[in-house]
Amino acid sequence: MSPRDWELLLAQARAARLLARLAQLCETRGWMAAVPDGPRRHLESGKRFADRLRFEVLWEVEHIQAALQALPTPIVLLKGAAYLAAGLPPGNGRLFSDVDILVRREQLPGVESALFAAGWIAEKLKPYDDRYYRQWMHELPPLQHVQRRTYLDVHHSIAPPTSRFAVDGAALLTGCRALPEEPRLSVLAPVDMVLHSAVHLLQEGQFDGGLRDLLDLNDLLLHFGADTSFWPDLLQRARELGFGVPLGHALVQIDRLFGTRVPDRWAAELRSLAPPSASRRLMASLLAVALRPDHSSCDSRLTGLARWLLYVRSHWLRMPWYQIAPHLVRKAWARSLERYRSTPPAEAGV
Amino acid sequence: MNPQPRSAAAGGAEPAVAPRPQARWRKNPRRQFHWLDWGGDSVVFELRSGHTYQFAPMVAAVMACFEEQARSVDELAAAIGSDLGIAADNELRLALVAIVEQLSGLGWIEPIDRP
Amino acid sequence: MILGQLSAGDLARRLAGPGLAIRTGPFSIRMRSGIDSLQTAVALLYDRHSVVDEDAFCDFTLEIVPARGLRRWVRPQVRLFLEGQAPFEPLPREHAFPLLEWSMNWCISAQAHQYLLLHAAVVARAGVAMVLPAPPGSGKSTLCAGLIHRGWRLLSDEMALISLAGGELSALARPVSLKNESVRVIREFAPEAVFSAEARDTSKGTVAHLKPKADDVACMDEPARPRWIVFPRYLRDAPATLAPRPKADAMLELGRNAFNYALLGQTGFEVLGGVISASDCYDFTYSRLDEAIEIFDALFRQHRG
Repeated sequence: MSPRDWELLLAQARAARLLARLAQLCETRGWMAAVPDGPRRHLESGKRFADRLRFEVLWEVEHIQAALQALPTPIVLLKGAAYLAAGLPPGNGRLFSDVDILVRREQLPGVESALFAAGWIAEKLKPYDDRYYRQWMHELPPLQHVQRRTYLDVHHSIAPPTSRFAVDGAALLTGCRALPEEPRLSVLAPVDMVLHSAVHLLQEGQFDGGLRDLLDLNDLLLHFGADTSFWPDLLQRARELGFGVPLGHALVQIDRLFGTRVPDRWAAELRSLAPPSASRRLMASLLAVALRPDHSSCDSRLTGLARWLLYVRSHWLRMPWYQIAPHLVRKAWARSLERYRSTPPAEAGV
Repeated sequence: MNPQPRSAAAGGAEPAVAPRPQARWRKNPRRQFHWLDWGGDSVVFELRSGHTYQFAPMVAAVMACFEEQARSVDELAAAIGSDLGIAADNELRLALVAIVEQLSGLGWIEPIDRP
Repeated sequence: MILGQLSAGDLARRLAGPGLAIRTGPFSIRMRSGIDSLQTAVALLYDRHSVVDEDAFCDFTLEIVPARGLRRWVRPQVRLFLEGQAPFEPLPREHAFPLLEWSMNWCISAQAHQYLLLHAAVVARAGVAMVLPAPPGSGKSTLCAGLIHRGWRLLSDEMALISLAGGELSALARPVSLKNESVRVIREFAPEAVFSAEARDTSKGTVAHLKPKADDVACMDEPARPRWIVFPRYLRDAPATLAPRPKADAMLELGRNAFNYALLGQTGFEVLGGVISASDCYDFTYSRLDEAIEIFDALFRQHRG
């Protein structure tokens, strides 16, 4: 890779919040020594930043546990915090922001009170919005800690109740697993974690996921897929919960990007769950546009990853890197609010 | 960064507990510290939170005692009194009570009879 | 090749086109701008800096370009672009060069976590360094500018770069930013000093940049060991006074003045602790520059003797 290529790669990685992950990859594959000095310093710097955020998340999780430990609900970590706490691959080189947890729906009022007592305050909303959220969405607004300024999102399911893919949180809680070192904290069952990631990628039929979310999902599939019962269990659970469509979409994209796919013996079953071929092709072609290569290949060990990252187009890139502080708010919750705000309740929801 | 140890309400993951004189305290095993001092106040780095604190020598002395073993305020007074060659009188005890409250508020020490 | 060896035409062409990269200490920075005042300032203040090969790796690429639309022509403004994004609000066109300088500082402070970065001026003499941390308005830049014209070497006026490996300080040897009254003071104090044109009405008042000495630029790759930490405070009519500051206190204050102390976690604590251990720490109040210089010279002689 030429020096200019390195500059572009670093810029793209930073913009996609993947600089630390790129650094992690270079380390694990033993490529660091081959990276020229200039770029290597940037990678190492990015990694330091990510290392710090890991600490911050773990510290945050400790506070959450202390606040909620007396309540009769599991405290299920979701997404980034879960990957980190459970030592899963997507936790490496990750830039963490907010923490998401899942609790028992009936305990939401108690959870909110306990968190309030420990310093988490609900974002100040206009009365209409606030009521809308609590009564209509049955969700808590994002909470911010008064002192640490960190954000916490409390869920009772893995998709909003009004979404197409609504599922009762109780079903998810039955599968959750306690963390060995911290029995008061749990994570979702592997199949549920994967389905959550897939649903998150597809917000109400729109491909909304970032490159990082795809990487996470791929990591999870590779990690859990080593267990032979994983794939059939996954398909079964997708069927049970009605997540066939997002799973199908997500797996198509994962296959095309990373070559990770459902083992042949389960391919037919996946097809039976997956969306109709027309919409699959549409999604695939949309993605092809998004990922169109604009650099010719070059000769080096890093070509595969480099070229792939260079394919990232601007609409994949979220916030500029310098606006990202740990614990930023933006989220499906806020987006959903915007969507529903302008639509009367009877028409909202798909 | 904290120029002073933070108050119980703001700082730690534990609620503050007023120390009873015979209650025994121990260093919270989940906390790890690195100390530096140059003869005056100490600076301390607490690993889990990533925070840096500045403490007067007496606080450092108290934490040094807790690093060794669990103690009650009375036992602290005896140990420090003997180390520094000062009387383990009421004034010392009051100072130690305040320090124990502070450290408990930060979550650095915990009462032993907690389940 | 050093920048001063480029012809005026070449310099302008490169800056306006593919960009011109220079090395400042450990960083290679590519600048792109067609703005005249910026080009003039770069030609004047960076003429002793090495030019980086067009194909070589650069740590940052900064573009200062005219704002779009109406503000290109009416009360014209300029913007910084970095990696395709514009992180700051536009500024008046005359502030193009200060914007470039601030942007360089900002990039380094936001990304160079291979160093512990303190918001401080650093000068050195015979291999030992004095760190002058202070919030804006404390007079540290004036002191810095004064010291470097009385036998001290400029490492940086804004940022202490402390190596995480050995605790040594690295130099940037870039122009010193001075404001308002300080510009006049230094012009008098050092008549040989070379300044950029003054930019008026910036958010910091009137700003001008002082050219680093040729020797200081030539030595930019030589590190220095920390020896003194002096917290300066300008106080009208006050005699120059140096008062020892307890180390624990100094360490906390220094940490608060750092860009990435918290980010570096335990490493930050250990490195900063090492710097404190190696240094004598002082509070310093002053009003007259010549008195201040005398005090620091005395410190140096004490160190030597």
